[in-house]
Amino acid sequence: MSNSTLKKVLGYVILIALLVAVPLVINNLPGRAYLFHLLCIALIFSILGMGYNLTMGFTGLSNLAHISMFSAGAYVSTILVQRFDVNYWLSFLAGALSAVVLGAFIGVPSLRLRGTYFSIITIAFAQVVYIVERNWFSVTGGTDGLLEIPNISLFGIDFLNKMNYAYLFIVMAVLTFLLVKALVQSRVGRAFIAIRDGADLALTTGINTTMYKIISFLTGSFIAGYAGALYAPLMRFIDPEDFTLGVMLNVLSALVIGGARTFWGPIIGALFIIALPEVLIPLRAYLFLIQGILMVLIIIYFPGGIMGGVYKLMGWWKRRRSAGGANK
Amino acid sequence: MSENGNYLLECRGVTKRFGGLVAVNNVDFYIKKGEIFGMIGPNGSGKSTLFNTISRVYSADGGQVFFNREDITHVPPYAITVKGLGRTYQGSKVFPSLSVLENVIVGRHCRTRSFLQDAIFRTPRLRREEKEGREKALRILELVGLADRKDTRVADLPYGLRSIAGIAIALATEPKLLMTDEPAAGLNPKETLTVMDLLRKMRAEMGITIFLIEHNMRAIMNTAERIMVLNYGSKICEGTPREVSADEQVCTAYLGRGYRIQG
Ligand SMILES: Nc1ncnc2c1ncn2[C@@H]1O[C@H](COP(=O)(O)OP(=O)(O)OP(=O)(O)O)[C@@H](O)[C@H]1O
Ligand SMILES: [Mg+2]
Repeated sequence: MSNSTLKKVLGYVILIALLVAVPLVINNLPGRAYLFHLLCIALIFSILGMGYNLTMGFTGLSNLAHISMFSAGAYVSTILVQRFDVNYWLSFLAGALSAVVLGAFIGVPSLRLRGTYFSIITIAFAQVVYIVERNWFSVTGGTDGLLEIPNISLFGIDFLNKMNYAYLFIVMAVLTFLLVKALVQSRVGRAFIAIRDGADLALTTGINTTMYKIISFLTGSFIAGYAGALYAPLMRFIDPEDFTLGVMLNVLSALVIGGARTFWGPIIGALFIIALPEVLIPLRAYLFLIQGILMVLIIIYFPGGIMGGVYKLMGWWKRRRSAGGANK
Repeated sequence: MSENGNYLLECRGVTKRFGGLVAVNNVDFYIKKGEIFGMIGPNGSGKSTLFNTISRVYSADGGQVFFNREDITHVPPYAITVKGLGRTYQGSKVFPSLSVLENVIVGRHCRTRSFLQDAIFRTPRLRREEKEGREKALRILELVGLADRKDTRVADLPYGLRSIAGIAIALATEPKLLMTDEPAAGLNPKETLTVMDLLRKMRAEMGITIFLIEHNMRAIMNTAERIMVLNYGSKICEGTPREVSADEQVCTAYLGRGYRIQG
C-alpha cells in the first residue's frame, strides 16, 4: 500500500524534474530557437487536444469544429490587445470566453443531431467561421491575417526568449491536464462517459444528457479558446490558414494516435504529430502518406492509440506478475 | 388524477405508432404499490415499446401515463428517473467501458449534486458524495451479489452477470418502481432463478415494486402476482398466472395449446 504511494510520489517528482529540465537542456542545444518553437507548438496542440479529448474522447461527440473555437480565442485576444490596448491576460480570458460563446452558437443547435449528422453539421459551422475569418477584412485582416502580434509579458518580463514561452506553456498544459482529470473523475465526467457508452441508458439513469453534452462541448471550447490565446503571441502572426479543416484533422489524428479517452493520449499524440515531420525531413514529400498509413495501422492494431496500448501492456504485465506471485 | 391511491403506475389508452405500425395500441393497466406485475406476449407484440413509452425514451402518440398519481406523459426521461421510476433494457444495456462499481456510481447521478465547481476545487460536498456514493454502491453490489467483481470492466463480465449489473445500475437510482425487460434472456436455469430471487428480494427488503417482461414462462408465472398479455400491441388478457394461462385467447396467441403451469 505505502509502497504504491511511494512509487506515485516518485513518479511525480521525476515528472516535475523532467518538465523543469527539458527547456534548460534545449536552451543549451544548437538550433534552440527552432526547438523551442516546436516544443511550444506541441504544448499548444496538447492543450487543444486535451480539450478535444473531453468532447470527442470522453463524451463521444465527434465534433469537427473544435478548431473554430481555437481560432476565436486567437483572434479575439489579439484584436483586444492590438486595437483596444487591453492587457494580454485580460484578453486571454476574453479569448477563452469568446470561444465558449461561439461554442454555444455551434454546439446548442448541432447537439440535437447524433453521430455522423452531428459531425457533418459541425464541419459546416467550421467552414462558416473560416469563411468569415477570410472575408471580414476590417476585423480579422482577411487573408492577410493579423501581423506583429506583441509578445506576452508577465510580471514585467518580456517573453523575448522562447524559453519563457516554453515554461509558461508547460504550466498551462499542467493546469489543463489537472482540470480535465478532475472533471473526468467527478460526477460530471462520469456523466460524459455514460453518454458515450449508451445515451439512452444514461438518459433513463437520470442524466440530463442534452445538458451534459452541452457542458462537455463548452468546456472543450473554453480550453480551445485559451489555447488559441496562447498560440497567437507565440506565432506573432495569425491568418485563417492556421485554422483550416486540415489543421482540425491533425488535431483529430493526434488524439487518435496518442489515445483518446486517456489523460496522456493528447499530449503523446501532439508530440508525435509535431515531431513526425521533423524526423521525416528526408521523406518530406511522403509525409501525409506516412501519417495516413500510421493512422490506419494504429486504428487497426491499437484502437486505443499509443496510450491505450501502453495501458494494455501494463495491465498484462501486472496480471502476469500477480499470477506469478500466486504460484510461488 | 388516479382515483386509487394504491396505484403506483397507471397507463390510460397508451398508444405508440411507428409510421403505419401501431406498436402499442390503446393499452390500459395499473400496477399497485408493492406488487410484482408481469407482462408477456409474442415477439414484436410491443412489450419493449411500451416500456420505452412509459420511461419516455419514446413519446406517446396517445394516452396518459401516471406515476404516483402524477401525470408523467410529458416529463423528460431523466426527470422520471428522479421521481423513482427505474428501468433496465432488453439485452442488458450497461456502461461497458466502466467498472462494475463505476456503473453503479453512475446510477447514483440523480441522487447527487456535485457539479463543475465541486470537481475543480474538490469541495467537501464532492468528497462527501464520492465517499457516500462508493459505500452505497458497494452495498448494492453486495445485495445483487457482484461485490467480488466490482473492479471488473462490465464489458468483460459474463453475459449472465451483465444482466445483474444492469439491474444494479437501476437500483442505484433508488427506484420505487423497477421496470425490467427480459432480465433472464439468455441465462441458464440456475442464473434465471438467481435473477428472479433477486427481484423478490428487492421487493421484500427495499419495498420496490416490480414490472417484469419475461419470455421464460415458468419464471414469470412463479414470480409475478398479476400478468398482462400483449398481442399485436393490444392488451388481450390480464389476471393471475393461473387465470392467464387458462385463457383461450392467450393460448392461441402465445402459450400454445395444452400449456399448463409447471412447478
Ligand atoms: N424504433 C422502432 N422503429 C420502428 N419500429 C419499431 C421500433 N421499435 C420497435 N418497432 C416495432 O414495433 C413492434 C414492437 O416491437 P417491440 O420491440 O416492442 O416488441 P417486443 O414485444 O418487445 O418483442 P420481443 O419479445 O422480441 O422483445 C415490432 O414490430 C417492432 O419491429
Ligand atoms: Mg422486447
